[in-house]
Amino acid sequence: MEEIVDYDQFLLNIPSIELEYSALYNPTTGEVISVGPMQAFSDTNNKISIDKETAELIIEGKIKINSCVVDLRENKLEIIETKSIFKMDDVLHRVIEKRWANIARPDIFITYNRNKQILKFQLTEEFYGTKKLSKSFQPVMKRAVKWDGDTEIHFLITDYNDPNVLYKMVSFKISDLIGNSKIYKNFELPLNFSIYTRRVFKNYVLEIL
Amino acid sequence: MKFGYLVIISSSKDHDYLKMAYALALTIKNTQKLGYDQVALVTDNPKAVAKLKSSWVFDHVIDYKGKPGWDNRSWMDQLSPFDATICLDADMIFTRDVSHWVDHFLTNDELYIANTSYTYRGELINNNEYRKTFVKNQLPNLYSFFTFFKKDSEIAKEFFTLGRYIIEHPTEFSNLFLLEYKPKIVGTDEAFSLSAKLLDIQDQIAYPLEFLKIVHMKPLIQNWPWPANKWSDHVGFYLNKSGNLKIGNYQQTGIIHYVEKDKINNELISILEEIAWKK
Repeated sequence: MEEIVDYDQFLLNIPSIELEYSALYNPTTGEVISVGPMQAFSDTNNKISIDKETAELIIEGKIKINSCVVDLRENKLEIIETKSIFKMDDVLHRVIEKRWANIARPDIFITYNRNKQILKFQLTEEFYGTKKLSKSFQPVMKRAVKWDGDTEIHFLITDYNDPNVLYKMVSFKISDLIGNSKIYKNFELPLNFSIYTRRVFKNYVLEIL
Repeated sequence: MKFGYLVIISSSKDHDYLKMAYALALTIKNTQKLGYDQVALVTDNPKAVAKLKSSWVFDHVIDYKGKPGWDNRSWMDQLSPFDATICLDADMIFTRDVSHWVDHFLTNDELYIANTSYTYRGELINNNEYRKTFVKNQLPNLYSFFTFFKKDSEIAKEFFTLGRYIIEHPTEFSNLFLLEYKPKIVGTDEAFSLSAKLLDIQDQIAYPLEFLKIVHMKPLIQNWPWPANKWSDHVGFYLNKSGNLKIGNYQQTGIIHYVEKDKINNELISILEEIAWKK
């Protein structure tokens, strides 16, 4: 005798397929060209796997696709500028002091010279900035990243490890760091302070001299 | 009566429990009154303790390997060198003197286990997201991360013995007593709660206490209107040079069970060490 299938139950029992997403990128520049289900790019090599949440935000246009690049060194997706930042460490990222940071290859390097009262911001040479990377990373492959010249970066100088107590704030454009350092003179700071920023780059390091 | 705090750790590939226990011991030394600041560490690697800059924060280091895969906290009554003990999880820190809490327990209790916890904003946690086994099986809501006991207590002896027996026979006890919602693992919390229920001592060992403020930072119970995988995705953890801790913009004044094991880094340890050296 033929079994009559309960259609509603049948639908409920169909296992949901968990979509996996990929980002297709330009192998020379790392720029992301397209984002979609992994199967859509099955005959292409230049792709990386990305998490569902990020993929859907890019597809929905909440993260601009032209703000996304693939870090060709680490084969990871990086979002250069995002208007929808969710994680606290991205919204308010504390720049770790060099002696505590496990960052061999910073993107932005901040130096505070207490005696001279100079605060200096540098991009590393990898991004066409003035900060030389250590010998172990030479020769440096420059990263072909297109910057939006109007993108501003902000730094909050606060009480030590407490962004609730703000001392000073500095802001400038990323383009100010291309080929130049941004220097603030007569910049007096208390003995203990921290620097916080909205995370535009991946790695920031602070050195206090 | 010799009182002290007990921390039980074992080596792990995933987390540096010694670093967490060290931070906890430093905060105990930094905040508690003399006589209320003794710390005993149970570890399977006592040699690593000697390498710490201030290993003196551990008044006792007890070498104990335990059974593989066994949560050694269930042996706390037999491992403690003190007459009266508060056993804590390693991923906790003290933010102020709570020695008056200890006085209460020394005077009034033989065994006490925390049955409430708070969000970082000081709200009582009522969310049962992580406690379905307890709610569905009508177990008392016990948190083994704060367990006070006296060594010579008969109730404590019975309680811990049964707790260990439950951990040793998880399937049998789950099938008999946790049928409404079986936990994946019968851990120390489940075993302690079931032990208290079976001995019918839950009201005696876990009565409400207004003063006991332990902040529990599991992300889904912070009364946020959104789900969270990690609490640190939503609020910051700010320890200043004086050892004062803010989570988000809330000053912390209790014991903090921070849960996320990477919160204790070398910079934070150096702050706590400096405070300990200056004390």
